[in-house]
Amino acid sequence: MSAGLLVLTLFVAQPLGAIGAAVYLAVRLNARTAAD
Amino acid sequence: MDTTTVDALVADYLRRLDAAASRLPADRRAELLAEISEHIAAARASGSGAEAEVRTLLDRLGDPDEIVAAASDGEPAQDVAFTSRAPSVALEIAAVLFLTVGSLLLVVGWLVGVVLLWSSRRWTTAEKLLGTLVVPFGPFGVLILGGLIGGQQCVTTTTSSGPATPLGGTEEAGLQTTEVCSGFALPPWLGIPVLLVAVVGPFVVAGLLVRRARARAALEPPVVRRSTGSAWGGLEIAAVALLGVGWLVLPIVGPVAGLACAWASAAWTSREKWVATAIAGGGLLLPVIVLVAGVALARGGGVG
Repeated sequence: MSAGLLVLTLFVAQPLGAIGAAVYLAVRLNARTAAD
Repeated sequence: MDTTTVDALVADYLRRLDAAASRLPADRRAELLAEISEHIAAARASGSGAEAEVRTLLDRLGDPDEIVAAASDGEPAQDVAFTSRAPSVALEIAAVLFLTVGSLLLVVGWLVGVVLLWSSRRWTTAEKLLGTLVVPFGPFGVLILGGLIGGQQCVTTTTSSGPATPLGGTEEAGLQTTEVCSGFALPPWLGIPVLLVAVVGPFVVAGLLVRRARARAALEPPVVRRSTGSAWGGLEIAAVALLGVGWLVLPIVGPVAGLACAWASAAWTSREKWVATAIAGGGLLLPVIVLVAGVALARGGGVG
């Protein structure tokens, strides 16, 4: 288990998850605003 | 006397009054709400505060629609829309998120949670103490610190001969086996339950704290805001911004704060909040799993 894997998960998995959540919330809210 | 029931009665009355007053101009609406709230508070303070007494007081005040009709005599009706919602519990949700998930960021995240916990006015001192002491450094802090400290490690050495038998050694067919242990470890029958309580306990306490904060916030007068026509408010923008770019400034803490804002907002449904938490949570947990697995493997390889 190398430190490289830790860095990879910390700086790739974390941003990807956070950005994914941000995009999902933004899309849902925009869809709702448009429907209203 | 059940104070909670009486508070709920008053809060419900004020909520109905607030809804009825939505056709009044903003300043007149706020003035009317403040006036009636003060009147109720003064009457309760001078009386016994019993439930029957408060019910009579509210009956005497009259129906909220009638109060508004009387107050709006001569006031022009207006088309400006207002939104009324329960007071925000964003601070409280952020506090428990930092105390639990935030402990991924060793010590710092948990300390932020403690500061937020003690800044809230919706928890009693006993609840704040509970949130602080169960468990110091949070569930992930305990796991990470446990991995860094390393527990007990033993080294066994075998030597062929020697006139003296070392303390704790055994002698067999001219060979001496010596085991030297350093560090500290609990026996498995005690260590495993303690670890489970340390990891699960903070989440259970967090759930309890959020439930109590929400119940107390529901008793407070509603927050009235002028409707902008868009679902995007400050809280929603903060949630998306913190999740989208917060990790650049504050790894882990930024996305956790973004999730706190999302959960505090009423613009998303519970299902949408859970989906977002699962998406972001996967990315937050993976580094910790890798770290814990790495520490465990390193320790396993170093022993013996």
